Amino acid sequence: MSAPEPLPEPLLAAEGLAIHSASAIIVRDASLAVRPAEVLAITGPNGAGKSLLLRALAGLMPDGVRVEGGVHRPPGRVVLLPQGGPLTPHQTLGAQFAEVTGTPAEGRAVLWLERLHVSQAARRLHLYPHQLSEGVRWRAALALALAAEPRVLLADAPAAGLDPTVRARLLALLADWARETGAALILAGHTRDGVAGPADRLLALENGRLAPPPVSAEPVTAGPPPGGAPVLSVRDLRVTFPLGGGLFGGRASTLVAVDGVSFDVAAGETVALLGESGSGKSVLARAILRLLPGAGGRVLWLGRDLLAMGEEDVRHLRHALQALFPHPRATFDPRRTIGAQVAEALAALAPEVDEAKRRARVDEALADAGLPAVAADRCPAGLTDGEAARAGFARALAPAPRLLVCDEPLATLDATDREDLLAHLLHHQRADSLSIVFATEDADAACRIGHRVLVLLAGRVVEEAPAGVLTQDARHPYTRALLAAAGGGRPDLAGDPPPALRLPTGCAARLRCPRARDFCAQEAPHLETVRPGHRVACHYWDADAGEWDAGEWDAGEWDAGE
Amino acid sequence: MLSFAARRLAGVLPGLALLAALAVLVAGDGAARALAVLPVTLGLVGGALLLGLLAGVPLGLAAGRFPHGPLGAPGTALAALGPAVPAFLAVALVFAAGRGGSGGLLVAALAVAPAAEAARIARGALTAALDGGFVLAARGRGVPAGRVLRRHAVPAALAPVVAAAGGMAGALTAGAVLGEALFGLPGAGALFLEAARAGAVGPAVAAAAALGGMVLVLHALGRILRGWLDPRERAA
Amino acid sequence: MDAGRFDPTTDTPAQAARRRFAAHRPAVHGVGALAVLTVLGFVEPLLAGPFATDPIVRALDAGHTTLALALVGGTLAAIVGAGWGVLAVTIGGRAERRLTALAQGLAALPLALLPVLAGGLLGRGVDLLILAVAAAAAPAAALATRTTLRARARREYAMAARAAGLTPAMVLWRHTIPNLAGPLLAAVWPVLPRALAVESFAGVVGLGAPAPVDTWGTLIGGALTAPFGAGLLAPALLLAAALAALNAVGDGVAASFPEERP
Repeated sequence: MSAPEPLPEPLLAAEGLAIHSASAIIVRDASLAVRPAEVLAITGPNGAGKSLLLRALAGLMPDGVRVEGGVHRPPGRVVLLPQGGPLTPHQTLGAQFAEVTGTPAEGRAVLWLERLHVSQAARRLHLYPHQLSEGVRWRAALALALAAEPRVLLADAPAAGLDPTVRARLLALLADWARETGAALILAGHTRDGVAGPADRLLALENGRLAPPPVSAEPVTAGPPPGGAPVLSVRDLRVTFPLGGGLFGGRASTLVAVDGVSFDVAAGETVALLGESGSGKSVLARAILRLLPGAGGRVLWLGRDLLAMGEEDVRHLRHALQALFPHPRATFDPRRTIGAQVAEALAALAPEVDEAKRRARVDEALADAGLPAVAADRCPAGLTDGEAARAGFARALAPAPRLLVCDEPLATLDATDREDLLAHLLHHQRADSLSIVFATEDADAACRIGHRVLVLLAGRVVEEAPAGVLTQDARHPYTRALLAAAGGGRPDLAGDPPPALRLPTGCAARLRCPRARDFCAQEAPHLETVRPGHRVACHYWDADAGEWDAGEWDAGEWDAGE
Repeated sequence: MLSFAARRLAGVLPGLALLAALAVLVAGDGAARALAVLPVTLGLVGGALLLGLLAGVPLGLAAGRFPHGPLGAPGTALAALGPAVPAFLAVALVFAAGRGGSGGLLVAALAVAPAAEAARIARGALTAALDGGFVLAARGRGVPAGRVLRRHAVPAALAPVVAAAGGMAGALTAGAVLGEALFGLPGAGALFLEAARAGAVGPAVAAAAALGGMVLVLHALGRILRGWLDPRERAA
Repeated sequence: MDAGRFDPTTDTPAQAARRRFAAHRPAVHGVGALAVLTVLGFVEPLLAGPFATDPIVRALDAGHTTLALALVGGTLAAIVGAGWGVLAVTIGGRAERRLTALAQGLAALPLALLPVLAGGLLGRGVDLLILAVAAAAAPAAALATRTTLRARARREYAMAARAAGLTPAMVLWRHTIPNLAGPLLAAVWPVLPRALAVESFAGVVGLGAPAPVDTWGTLIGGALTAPFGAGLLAPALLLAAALAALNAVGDGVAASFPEERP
């Protein structure tokens, strides 16, 4: 029996690294090592020090921060890509590439841009960063970092802020590059930014210590669907926004954010709205609660059409219809305490409750959400993200609503808080028969908390099915890409989402879709039934999944263009 | 770039037309006289701007690069001094101390205020640029520190200074008005003051309109220069 | 949930603003300097007696008049300017663009010449001076107000408050306006030093406040014909000190209400 191959020498190693600012110890005694062609992910909450750790590894510390301990660097370059992938605003892309590749010739720059799937690369080299769309800007920033041909690449939250399918694909491209060239790749970020997906190894930075992450508990899921008559019926909901007329009084155009969506929600049931930015899920969620003007169609709550009622009548119903918003801390007035604002909500929604009872209800709601009594006297700035989310829960659940519309309520939370709050939500649902509409771009959360999932693209439903069916047998390429991105795999959808004002003709996903054919440009697909309860809007949903090995499909590999 | 410049200049035309109409309406032929003496004021204000920027910008950049060191101290001091000494006050002090003097001395006195303002803006802008992500990104790619400073940070810091030049022109005009009267230079400012003191509506309004028009054009030139330095301006 | 995570020193935004202001050394010195100048101006006449014509005494004496004129003119400018900015943002759309463009065009002009023009053509008078000074400082205040409102009027908590059953009027009165008060103050504060500078300029060229009223500007203007000495230096230094102090306080106020990160 031959001896096993020895592991290669680590390219970058840190031993006993400690990072001090003037007032605090940020990282203590961190040790790590990465080998060639290895991808290491470092996760951790906001402010844990991931960015500083990467800067220490690169040797680029800011003023006023001290580093102790040894970092052994390889003979080649160590490149750091900071948060946000910033580009120098007053230099063209070509100039920035020339600086890095050492030659003004465009050829190599074009090669690197094409490697990151930027179309019309030669043209874009003459543009300035502000003239590029966000997706192209990120690709350019990554290409610049790669063009420096590093032996070790330290990427801080790469592609954060981009849609999940785009981000997952870019991270997969980075990992491919690392494995091909034998370089080492260290990704830092939140778990929700998908850095764990392409990684070979994971480390978590918490409370200053770097260690392998703890094994998480069994994730919660929604129970069986309750069945029963619907309490909320949405029929042909359509939301449009007027756009200003042209400079010379041209025709004013409208943006159709939601285009004819219908669904029902029974008591105690959760319907998840799954989609990326521009899908219309947030607009849909807010339109249901009449928080947006410009909505057509019908939203029937217990038989009454919310969109046809007067303002005052809707206000009197709001105690039963509550909402959770994406940035919990921003949804509170910064100048007043949490307790006062929850009390104010109760006073407006349930005016029959007297002062003393109201105070008791506030304390009860806060405790129920997992906040201590002192939270009532804190202002929003004094809360962490998790605490702010709980405060939002408390305010929404205090009036004992029957419908809760959630728009990405967990986006700012780290893994533990997210699981906690999901569990909390599901507990309330079971206990009070609470109906939930949950809008998110995270397919994992949607399928776990939703009984039924509606997948939205450019304001239309492109697939709807029970959650279990969707995870097993999603038929629409967009849904499959979202599921792949949530699972840390490589989505088959190429390029960036199309801009809302310039959607492609026919099917909105066709410029990114591996299955796209000519017919997809001519006609937009309608919902067709796959099986009872499962509908999909794709011309080729019945093609065998195995036929389309989209990993090698080239035609769809370009982004949607400017 | 050219179309951007043309647009900026075109943007000033309505204002200029309005001022010209006002001047002609109120002063008739006197408007021409105001225009004739305007170049003197333009020379003073323009010269003070140039001198002030030339002096203030390097000091401000040094203060931004070395906020705690001795190299940055003059810039920091100049920046702090700025708000306390508006152009007209500097002119008054220099005149009184020197008992008159040449036009060059006046230009130097006028230049103090824009120099201080330029130092303040340059210092703030360089500090912001150095903290900004794109500088770290460039260093992270392996670009040497000196080149990052010269090609990335400094140009980003210059744009706001140039944009503010237009605002400085307004304050400098006030100083030039006083300075021309004190130092005996026959410019539009002196004409304005003379007419105002005498209560002569025509020449006063004409001179004021001429001075206003000059400042508007300087403003537009400042924006154009900023557009040259900062491509994002050109899109706006 | 760990109760220890709540830091007892966390305070409300109002308290935080006060703390930040107190931490801004130049601003605190500025407040002190302004207080001294004002007090000296009032206490001064009681002690003067036989020294009433001494230039330093006269300069100190003129302090409270000058500052009062600047305060009144500046306040008027702030009201007009803020009203202009609020109107523009409330109406929105094309009207907002036009109002803003008008303010930008006016702010670009050398408005410091306005009180001089008014004083010369319409006769010197305190009322006219105040009006002209206010007109000179208002456009910049309008621009600053509009910029602040556009940047700071966050809609998230307004939408959440409406979802919690409040009427739009309640949201505006209880939440939006109190949150904008501090940043608006920071935005319009520069009218004060600007009004002081404009009013002093008018005095220096001899068309400021009329004869019996002494302001630093008129004292400087009068001293330009006399030999160089305390007659010029005293009001000049006091004016410089007041301008620096007002600007420092303005920086402190701006630092007290920083942009909140989400």
